[in-house]
Amino acid sequence: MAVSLEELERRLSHLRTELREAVRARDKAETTRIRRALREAEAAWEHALESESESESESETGPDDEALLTEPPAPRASATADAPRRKERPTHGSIPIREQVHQALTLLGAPASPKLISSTYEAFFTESLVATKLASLRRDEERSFTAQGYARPYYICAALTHDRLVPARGLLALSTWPVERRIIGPLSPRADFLTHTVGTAEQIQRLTTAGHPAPDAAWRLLRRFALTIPGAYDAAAPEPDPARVITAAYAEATVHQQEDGQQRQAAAQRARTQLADVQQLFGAAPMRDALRDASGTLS
Amino acid sequence: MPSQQSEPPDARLARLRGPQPPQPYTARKITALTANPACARRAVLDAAGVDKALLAQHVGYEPRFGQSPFALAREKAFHGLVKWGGYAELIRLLREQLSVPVAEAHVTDLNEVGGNTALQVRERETRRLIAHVASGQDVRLILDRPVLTLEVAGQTAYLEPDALTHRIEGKFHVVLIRSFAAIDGQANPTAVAEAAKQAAVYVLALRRAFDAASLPTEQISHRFLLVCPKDFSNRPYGSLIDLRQELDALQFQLSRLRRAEDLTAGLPETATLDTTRSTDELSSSIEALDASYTPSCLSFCEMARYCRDEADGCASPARLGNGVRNDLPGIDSTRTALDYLDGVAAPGEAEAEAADLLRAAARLRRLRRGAA
Amino acid sequence: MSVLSTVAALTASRTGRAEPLTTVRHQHLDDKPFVLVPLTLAGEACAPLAALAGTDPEHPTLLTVRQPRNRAERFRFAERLAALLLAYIDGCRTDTEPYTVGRGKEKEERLRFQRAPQLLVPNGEGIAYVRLLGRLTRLRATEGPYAVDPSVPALGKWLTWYAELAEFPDSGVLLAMTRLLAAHWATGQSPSEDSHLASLLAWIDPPEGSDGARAAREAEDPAVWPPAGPSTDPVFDRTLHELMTRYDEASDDCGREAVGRQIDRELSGQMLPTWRLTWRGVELLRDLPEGAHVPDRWSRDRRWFSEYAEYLDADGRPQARRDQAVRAARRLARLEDAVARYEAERAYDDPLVMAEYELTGEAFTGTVTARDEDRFAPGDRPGSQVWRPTITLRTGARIGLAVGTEVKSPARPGQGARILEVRQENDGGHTVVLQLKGGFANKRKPPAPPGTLAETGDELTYTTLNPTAMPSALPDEENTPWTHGGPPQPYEPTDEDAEETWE
Repeated sequence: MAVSLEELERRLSHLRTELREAVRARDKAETTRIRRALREAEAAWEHALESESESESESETGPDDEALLTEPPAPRASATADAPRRKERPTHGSIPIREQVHQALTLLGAPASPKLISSTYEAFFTESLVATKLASLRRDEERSFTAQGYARPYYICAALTHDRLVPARGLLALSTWPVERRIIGPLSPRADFLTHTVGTAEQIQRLTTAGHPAPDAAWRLLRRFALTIPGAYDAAAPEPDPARVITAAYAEATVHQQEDGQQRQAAAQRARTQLADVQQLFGAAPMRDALRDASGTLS
Repeated sequence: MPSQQSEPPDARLARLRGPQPPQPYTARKITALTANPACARRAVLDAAGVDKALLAQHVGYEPRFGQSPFALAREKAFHGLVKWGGYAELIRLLREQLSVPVAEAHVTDLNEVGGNTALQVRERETRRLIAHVASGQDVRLILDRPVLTLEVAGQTAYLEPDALTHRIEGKFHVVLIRSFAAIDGQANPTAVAEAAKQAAVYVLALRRAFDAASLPTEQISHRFLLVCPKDFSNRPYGSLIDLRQELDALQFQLSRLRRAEDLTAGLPETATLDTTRSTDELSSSIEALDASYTPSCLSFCEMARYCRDEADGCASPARLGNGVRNDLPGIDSTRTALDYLDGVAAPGEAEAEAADLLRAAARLRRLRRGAA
Repeated sequence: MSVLSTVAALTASRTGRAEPLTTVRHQHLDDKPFVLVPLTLAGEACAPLAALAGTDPEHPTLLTVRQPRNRAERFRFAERLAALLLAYIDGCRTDTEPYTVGRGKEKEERLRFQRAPQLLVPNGEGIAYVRLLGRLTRLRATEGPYAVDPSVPALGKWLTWYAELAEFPDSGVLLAMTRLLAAHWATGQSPSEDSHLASLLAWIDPPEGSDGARAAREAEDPAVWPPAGPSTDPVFDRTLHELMTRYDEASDDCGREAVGRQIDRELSGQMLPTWRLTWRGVELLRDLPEGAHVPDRWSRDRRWFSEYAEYLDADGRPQARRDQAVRAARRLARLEDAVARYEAERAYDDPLVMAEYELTGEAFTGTVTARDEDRFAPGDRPGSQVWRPTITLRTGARIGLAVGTEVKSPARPGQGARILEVRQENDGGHTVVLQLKGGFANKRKPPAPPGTLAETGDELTYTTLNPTAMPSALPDEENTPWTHGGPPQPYEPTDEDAEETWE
């Protein structure tokens, strides 16, 4: 081996120090140059690491001691078993993202944020669904709908604000839901949250009845919901009781139901009369920024 | 180019800044400004919207500030957590802290208005909504990221509190979400104090909005809701903190801030704070603006290290901290103080008492150091 | 900040070198202190990231947490720190010595260890870290679903003990190097800049060929002198963030270990300069002679240590989340007493500290010009006469003390004195006549045994300060078995404490 791992690591460390200096000096050109050198050194290091692990499977060497540093004493055996560093999740490339979202939304029963969709999906289906991947989904769906219209059994679409009927920020919904269900009035975020809670609790009940206990993550999700709904949670109990959560969520939902429902009805009515099909699903065009010219100069 | 007299003040400030886009005022900047209201340098730089970090860099003092990616991630994650699930945690806290009835759960997201994120649009919508809520025509428990305005040193600042909350027939409260922990009910006092100062800025802006709309400002609480993580967990914890002191201090300091345009009036016509210009041009323009350096500037102002060297150069007593400054009343330079100690200069009448005490102290130091 | 320290700061600002504020060292510095240089993850309440720890300046032990968001790794860090610190603490529990408490019938002989564990951190934030880490670990359960290793709560209880004592100026079990140095030297920069260990030391101990002022500025460069912690340099955090991401994404254990090694190296590089500076501070302070009251104060620390160790053996329940109101009030009162007594002791031990009181008129120094060895004065009982010699001092200073004031001289702490007369002289100086009481080796009449009565020509300082007259920090036996704060209210940790997340 031409250069030892130790030397490469020293070089990496040196480059990182240089990179920090360039960052501090806000020297873009220098930053770029060092980053490139760092990437090369990292590649060389990875290469060296590979060849070392190949050649060294029989002789175990300890980590390189720095002159000044001694090895810490071995900790006493811990009662806490090491939590698995990360959950190994099988990658099921076969399930398309839109289908994953469809499953999660169906379970939740109301428009939801990518974050909630992903944590729900991961909790119940123990597969990963990266929330950031949902960012472009709505646009892709809109494109597909515009091109083919109702060619698919469902689309992942938008929730609409009750006043302007534009897409509500950061929410996804299902095209199979009536417009009312996709309207976001002042009370709707809370009402939808309660719907999500009920959906989650019911899914746990279904799984339990079917003899497939819900995963821990699903229980944690339910606990999170329950902690913020009056009467849904018994602090003494180790985990929330789905039936109790459902009762409490319904109790609060009943309080909001009339007012929220009226607002949704009125907005949905307007949407149906004023908006084209595609807009009913994906929202009216965003408000024009009449002040855009002035927005650059605040002073 | 019109003559200086007829030039509108905004244009003068814009000309000083040059072609760079202006840096907006933030609550943090306003609290920094009021922390040192005597500093004309900072007042003008902020009013002109100059990028102070860049400016400091150009005159040879790279600022030592920066946000850690870990801190940013944590801040963002905690905000997300508080607003998660249709503001579920925030609603829970409001029910606990302000006894909000279950029926009140109305929210409006003011991060955008009909898909538009322009500050002016959001500010207008905020005003409209606040007026409706204050007059009882509408109900909102939470206004998420409203936009308010405040006049600072003759300039309009656009401010974005994390949230406003309002109870029917109750008061408006400013809500601040911060990711420093409250451990056993107590958070880092410095962090809380800084949050309270910023909250005071928002409350004041809210009062101005009420005044402008002829709404009764009694509807605005003098307390704000601070939301931060409980103990070592991520669970949001809320506490109501009284702001009366901060509000009084802020109003007083804001009234002391001279209008930035008045401060620029004395600048030479050629002065520039445009970061694309040469170091020499920038330095001479900065020097023409009076700074008021104290060591506390180092903790918040990007220009502080520049001003510190300047203060060293003129031997300003304040650079050595309040203790030294208070012991040198009327003496404007540590060199002068040392001259009095050495006996090479005689203090004037006003300085005599302080100088005598210094000399007595110096004598005692000489005598007692050898005594051991 | 006194006018004397202002003069010192002015002088330092001219010479570019720190000026001594004391002639002696006012804190105990152990032969074998335990130095802890901690780092925490930015943005978190208390997420240990790394530490250099140990008693050997040449061989610190490196502790790192390569994934600070992982709960198990955090507790592993606590275990490893516990392994080091608890072993050090145990090492102090060997030889004992007897001491007596109480008087008369309540007099009792007890034993205390001859050593106590001394923990040094770089700065004040380091003390806050000790408190937080103590709070975080002491309430953990060692059984049940959230069980941790028994060493974790043990560490927490000791760290809390340290943090509580650190509030008392007369205790030296937990000290911050910046505060320690700033108490002994004045620099030509502001106190807030003095809280930066590297720049403070640059003033006190500038490198060859540089002056302190210049070296202090250079020492502010985080690339050369990373922050002394526990907060990290935000620019360094970018490096760390990249490495930690790689660590998480490593495809196998071998690759992960290799990235982990690099994380260790980078973290170590951030802490080593501070480690060396802290030990340099220890060296500089050791060069100062120890103040006369320092061993007394350390013997009290040894007593607190012995009693807390005993308490842990016998009971061992942790300190509560919050002080009870009564306990908090008592603690505050003790703290005020401790501050006053500590200040007086410092002045007695150190003429340069006493000079501050001379300047404010609470003390004066003069030369003995006359003495009346055979003087008797009327006693308390009618017609009685008691032996009360006088001495007359001449001083150039102004006298801020009235006739009748009780004073004492640090040179003769066993002898009381009362001001009988103060006369201003034509040259602006003063003549003071003092009546003396006691301190004559139990003699009740003249002649005064040799050395007990000041000689003409002696220079003496008299002051109203009197450390022995102040309430003792020693609390009532039944009230305080182990610390200044009143009876311990042992706390039963609840399940909530045990499972408290550390996210």
